[in-house]
This record gives sequence, C-alpha cells and structure tokens, in this order.
Amino acid sequence: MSADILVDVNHLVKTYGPLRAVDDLSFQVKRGEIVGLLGPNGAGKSTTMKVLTCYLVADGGTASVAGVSIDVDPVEVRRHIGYLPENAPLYTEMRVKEYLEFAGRLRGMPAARRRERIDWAVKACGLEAKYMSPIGALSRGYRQRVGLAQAVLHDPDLLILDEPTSGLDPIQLIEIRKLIMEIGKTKTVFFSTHIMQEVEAVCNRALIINRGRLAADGSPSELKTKLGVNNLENAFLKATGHEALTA
Amino acid sequence: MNATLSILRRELGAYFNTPIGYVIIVFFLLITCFIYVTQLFQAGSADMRGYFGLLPFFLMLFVPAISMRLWAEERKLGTLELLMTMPVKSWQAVLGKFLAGFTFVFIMLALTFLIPLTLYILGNPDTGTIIGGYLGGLVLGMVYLAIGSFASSLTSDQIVAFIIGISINFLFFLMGYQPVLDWIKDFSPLVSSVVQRFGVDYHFESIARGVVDSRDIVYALTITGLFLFLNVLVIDRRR
Repeated sequence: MSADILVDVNHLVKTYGPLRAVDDLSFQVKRGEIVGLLGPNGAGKSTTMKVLTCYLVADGGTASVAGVSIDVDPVEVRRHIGYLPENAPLYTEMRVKEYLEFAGRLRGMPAARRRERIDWAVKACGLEAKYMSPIGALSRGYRQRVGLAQAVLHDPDLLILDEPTSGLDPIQLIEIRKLIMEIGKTKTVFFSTHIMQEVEAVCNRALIINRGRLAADGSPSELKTKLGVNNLENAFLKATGHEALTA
Repeated sequence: MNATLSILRRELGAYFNTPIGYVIIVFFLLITCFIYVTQLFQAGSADMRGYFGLLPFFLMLFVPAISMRLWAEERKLGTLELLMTMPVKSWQAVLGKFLAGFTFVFIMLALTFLIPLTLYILGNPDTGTIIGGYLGGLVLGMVYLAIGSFASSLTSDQIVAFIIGISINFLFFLMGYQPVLDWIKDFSPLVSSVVQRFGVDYHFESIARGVVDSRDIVYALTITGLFLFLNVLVIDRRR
C-alpha cells in the first residue's frame, strides 16, 4: 500500500443487534484530500467514524489509518487521528485553557510542545478571547471551535469531524468552514455534513452513504456528471434512490 | 502513567469545580460528627469506638454518591467518546478515575480530624486504635469505591449508578450479617462460614477496635481488584 493512502476501509461491517449500521463498506482516503461524508440520518456516517477512531469495534471487515490496523493497535491508530464527535461533547466545568492542557497531556505531549501547540490551536481556531472562559459559558459556535482546537492540537495526520457545522448560525458556519479549509491545506480531513454547499465549497471528494453502503464516490463535479444532475442536492437524492428535484 | 495522572487530576478538579464535592463532604461531616458528638456525651468515654463502629455504614451510603458520577456522567454528556478515542488504554482511565475518587474519600475522612483533636484536648485517647480505625475506614472506602465505580460504568444515569452501588455494598454487608448467616447455617454450616468470610463486617468489625489484620487487607485488595477489572471489561465491552 502506497504511503499516499491514509485511510483504507475494506468491507467494513458494524451491527447494533439485528441492525446493520455499516454494511460492507469499502473506500480509501488519500493524504491531503478533504473528503465530505454525505448520507441520510441513520445511514452509518457516525458509526463509520466511531469505528475508524476505534471507539467501536467492527463486526466484520478491516480498516487501517496510516497503515495501522484498527484491530491490531487501536491506541496507535488514535494517535494519528484528531476527532470531533457530533455536538462537540466537552467538560463544561473546565476552562478552555484547562481543557486544552488536559487534552495535550492525554496526547502525551511534553510541556514545551504542549504550550506551543495550544498557542497555535487557540490562534488558529480564534479562541483568544475565550481562553479563560468556562466551556459551559460558551456558545455552540465557540464550543465547536474548542472541539476543533482539541482535534488539531497534536498535529494529527487525519482529522475526523462528525457534523462540525451542525447547529451553527450562518456567521459561525463560514468561520468553521474557513477553518476546515485552512487546516485542509496541510492535513487530511474527513467530515460529515448535510449541507451541500459546504461540500461544493470545501471538499475535493465526496462519499455518499446510504443504509450502511457506499452509494457514490467522487469529486463533486464527477458525482454530478455520473448521476446526470446539475447540483449536489440532486446527486444526493438520486444516489439514495429518490427523485431529483426539478425546481 | 502520565495518562492516569492527567485523568486523576481532571477528575479530582471536577469534584471541586462543581458543588457536588462540597455537598457530599459537608453532609458527611455534619451527619457523622453529629452522631458522634451525641454518642460521646451519652457514653462519656474519650475514644472513637462508637464512631468507627458506625463508619462502615456511612461509607456504604456515601461512597456510592462519590463514585456515581465517574462514568455515568461521561456517558450521559457524550464526553466518554472523546476520552476513549484518545491514545489512552481503558485501564488507565479506570485507574485514574478510581484514584481520584479515592483521593476524595481520603480528603473527606481527613476532614473529620476535629473529632480526634477534641479527644486529645479532653482526655487521653489511644492513638493506636484511632489510627487503625481511620486506616480501616480508608480501606473500606477503597473497596466501596471500586464497587461504585463499576456500578457507574454500567449506566448513563447517576441515580441508577448510586442505587446499584449501594445494593452491591449492601449485599456484601448481608454476607456478614449474623441473622442471615444463622439462616444459612440451618442449611449448611460450611457454606455459612464461607459466606461469612466474604462479608464486609467480618473483616471490618475488628477495625472498630483498631485492629488491622493482614488478611483483611488481602480481602480488601482482592475485592477492589476484582471490581476494577470488571470496570475495565465494561468500558471495553461497549465497543
């Protein structure tokens, strides 16, 4: 496998009891790509991310990140990943400073590097004004930024973001998108979203998942061509077996 | 080790950054000191035997309140997902949280220092029994904490964690409770004596007198180890 391929997913299966949340899913992500993961709610996007970050164990198939298999060395896999779960779950009683310090320590970063990276992450995510605020006092937009800061702190190869823009107002949306694009210049980003304009604006590749399976894979323009539609909304609808909107 | 210490620090901070830690400590001190003071004036003797006799019961109730938030809250808030996607092994997280809870129990017990202090002012108490009693309390707290931490890992609801914790503690208490043992003795004296050895009372009744036997320590460490191990299993099983 070439050093080019950062994420390699092969026939991945994850079941919750009788429900096959991820059903024979295969795809690859190359270094430097910004990949958007699209799909209806319940399609298996979050589950796929939880398996990649080794929060969940796959029931079938294999996956590897930076050449490390998720069943062989999950702790090592996690070292390569910066992860932001849906709704940015953070410890609300901690201050931003304390939380980032904690994250840095858990990542095994020595003091000097930690300080340097926290300074960088705070600047990159626009958190200077909120550095000493308790996380519980922050708006959703700022909490998302703290979550992002924690994800980029250790300078990981791969960023996995689960709906990083959900629930944000238009201004916050643009800020986060700018951030993702900025980070995407040097890192590989894999994020899920429902917002088509985001995919058009930010991603150079999109994966459409439906019912645990891959429905489409390609750059936004490729997808539109392949599915014979003029916008991504329709690409999404057609790929998931619905009628395209003509309006 | 670094990860365990970081988690310990954070968890201990969480106890004192929110009202919960203070509420538990204040309540514990109020109730135990009140009971002790009324007993002191009734019994009229300058020792802590009465206090250490009651301590196991108070710990049985209070320690689950200390441990109930360790895992249940993280599950409920969703922060467990971030914690367990860090490059941290499950046992490091379990140990870190457990040690934080234990430090809290230590602080809580240490804050009862005014009791022995007043005894030293009023009379001439036996230092050995007092030290033995506190040590026993700490060890018992450690056991209940491991049980409570395990209980917390089973659910996302702190109240349920509390109840499961108390229930398991109560079960261990029953195994040393004489009427229950007598009842079992009717069926089999052998089973009865075996069950008795699992009971908390059997091992800690001597603590009240300040006698700490190495076998009791082994018992405590075994039960603690068992429940910490189960805790790790549960945390991994969710995967």
